[in-house]
Amino acid sequence: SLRAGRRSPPLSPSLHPFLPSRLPTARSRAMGRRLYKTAVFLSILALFHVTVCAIQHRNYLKAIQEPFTYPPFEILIQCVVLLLVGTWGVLGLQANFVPIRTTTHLAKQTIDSLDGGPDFVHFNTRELRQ
Amino acid sequence: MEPPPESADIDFSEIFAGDKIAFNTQKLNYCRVFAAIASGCVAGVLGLTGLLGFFVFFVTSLLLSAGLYLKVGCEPTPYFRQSSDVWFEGVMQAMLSYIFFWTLFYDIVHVYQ
Repeated sequence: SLRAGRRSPPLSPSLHPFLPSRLPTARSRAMGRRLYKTAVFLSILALFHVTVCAIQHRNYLKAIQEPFTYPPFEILIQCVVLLLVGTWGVLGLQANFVPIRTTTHLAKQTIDSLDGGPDFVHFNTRELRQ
Repeated sequence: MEPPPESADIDFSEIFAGDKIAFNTQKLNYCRVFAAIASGCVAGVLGLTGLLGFFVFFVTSLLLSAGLYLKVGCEPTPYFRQSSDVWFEGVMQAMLSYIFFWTLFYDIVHVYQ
């Protein structure tokens, strides 16, 4: 087929399901956004929870008069999980990039859209002034 | 326009759309700052001090960059000026937010009792 400009290679969709580059329909996009928002919200809740747990742990250590060396294992695991879930959620919500090169858009235009052709040019569009 | 040479990362014969670059940079910065704040809070809660804290910041930024790389389908070239931008751009600007929340949460959990 006749195409103006260079034919650009199609952007390959990412093959893994957990961070899709493009969600197919508007409905799945809305449902996906709700999932990412839930993930971010849960990670912030888990952050508050882990702060309270750490404060309680330190109060317990002060009560039994032992120095603080390292946090307990559950707090460490919860911190790692909240970081992973929060990162995944914010990437899904915010990391929707657009192509920055104008050739991406211009390469898709065909000669038909740029120039209709001299067959369709018409004159005599107005009344002649008398 | 001639096709870009294979050796160069930035081809100066390409025309960049400035508003789209600004949009991408804003989104990238949002992700970096969010990850910096979250990891700063975690570092404060865990009681990390000194170089270990900065090491955690760089590890978290690398994790976020890997996620971004997956998100663009392992092809960063249509979305960034250089392909290394998806790994390293915006990291240093987010470090200040990391340090702020790191010291804040360290004070909350370990200092003020």
